[in-house]
Amino acid sequence: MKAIEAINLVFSYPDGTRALEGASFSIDSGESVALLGPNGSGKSTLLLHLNGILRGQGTVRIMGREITEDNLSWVRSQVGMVFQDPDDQLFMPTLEEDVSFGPRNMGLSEAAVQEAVSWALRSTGLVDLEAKSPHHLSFGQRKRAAVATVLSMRPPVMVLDEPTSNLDPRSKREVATLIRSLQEKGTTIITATHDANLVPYMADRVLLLDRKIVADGDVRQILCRRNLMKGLGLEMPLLADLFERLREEKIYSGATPFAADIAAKEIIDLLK
Amino acid sequence: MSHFDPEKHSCLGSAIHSWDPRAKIVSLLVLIFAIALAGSILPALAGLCVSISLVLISRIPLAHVAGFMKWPVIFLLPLALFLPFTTEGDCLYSFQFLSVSRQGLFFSLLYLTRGVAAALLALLIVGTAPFTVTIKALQEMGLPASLTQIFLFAYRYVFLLNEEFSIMSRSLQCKGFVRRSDLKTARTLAMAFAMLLIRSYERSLAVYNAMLSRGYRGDIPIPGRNGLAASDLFKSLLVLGAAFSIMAK
Repeated sequence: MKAIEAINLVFSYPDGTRALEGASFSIDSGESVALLGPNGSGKSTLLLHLNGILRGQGTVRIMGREITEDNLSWVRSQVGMVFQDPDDQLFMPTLEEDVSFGPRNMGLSEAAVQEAVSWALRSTGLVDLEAKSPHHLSFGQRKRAAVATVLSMRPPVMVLDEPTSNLDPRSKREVATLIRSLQEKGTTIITATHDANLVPYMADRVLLLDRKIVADGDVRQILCRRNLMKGLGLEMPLLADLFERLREEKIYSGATPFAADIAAKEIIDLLK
Repeated sequence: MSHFDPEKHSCLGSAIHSWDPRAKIVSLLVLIFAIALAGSILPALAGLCVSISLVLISRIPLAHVAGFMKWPVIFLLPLALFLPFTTEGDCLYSFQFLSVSRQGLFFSLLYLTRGVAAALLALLIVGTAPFTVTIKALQEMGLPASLTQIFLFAYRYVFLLNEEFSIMSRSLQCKGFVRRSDLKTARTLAMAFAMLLIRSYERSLAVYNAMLSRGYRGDIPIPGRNGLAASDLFKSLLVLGAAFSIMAK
């Protein structure tokens, strides 16, 4: 079943900036997809279309139902959105209230709200911080808290706008692991990111966006295309770059590794 | 970022902290009014003693109390200093063209006592329960939901704006800006403040989008609270008794 279908999305901001020019794609249930594109390519604008915050020309379908004015509440219970800046997302005085905001709006019973809140806080490693004010949390904690506020709604589709930006390497890995574990539980995930090195750890498929979808394929197929990536001002993952260079020099002919341990093994084999 | 946090000690285990916020707000507000209406020194001093006793019972550290009280005292002191010299009445002491009047001294002491007592009680209202608990209690007592939301969001974002303004100030200093008492400084600070307002507007749009995406439809559902316990009523009776005694004097 298609979890998300976007057909020919066109959107311009009031100042005339054209953000989307006919973007079309679809994502199956349970897929984890990375949305890559340079600054100003329309990533955030596209994501805001997926739960009806922005509505331009074109059609968006969630679980087969087209987004209309009448079903916005349902759409927002199906598509959880994590914003790029956690301070946009953490608007209540305490973390517990922020995480319970979505479930309460969904009309869950108080017991169900508490259960959802403690699960979301546990999943993001924030259990002991529930009584804290967001302004007393570190940036990394606020990033995870922003994810928790959406997790607590248990949406079947999650949309994450640069969830790893400004995080240290360990926190980035934790976010990638969290995305994978959510996918394993059946959540459909679309993640906008600039971090090509992290994409193989959190997604199986890549959409390249430059106001419209310019490439769509599995991670290996897209991230190893130097000209395509370079043409959009994006960098290939470091290991992919190295092994593609070796391939171009006819030194290497195997599958491009994305993990350091596999790459190390391939290099040792080459040196033998 | 360091700033005064009124609810820093809102989770202590004192009798004031365990008091139901609705009963506490009503009782302490009545006491504040009683003290504010006191027409002579004696009831005002009695009110001050009650306020100090309640602060001591609350076990809020005195350093925190002092940090909170410096602002009302800064506001009250000029008034207290000028009144003895500017109020007409019996002259107690005179030096050249300055004279201290008995009535002026009386009003000065009265306003200072009433102001300090009221500020201490206000600290108890805001400092012995998390802000959100206090605001929700106000909503349960009839504060309109829209006002509740304004207070909740203002409380959350005032710290963020403070942080952003501090970052802007640091950025200005890094670019060689030095605060002086001149037009250039005023213009630069005005532009920084204007930029802060624009950022606030953009932030508010982003926050609104985040709220919509989590199912916001104009109100924030607040879980219900249990009725008042006997201990809450007992504490309220004691404080209201003190308030009516002050009013009766």
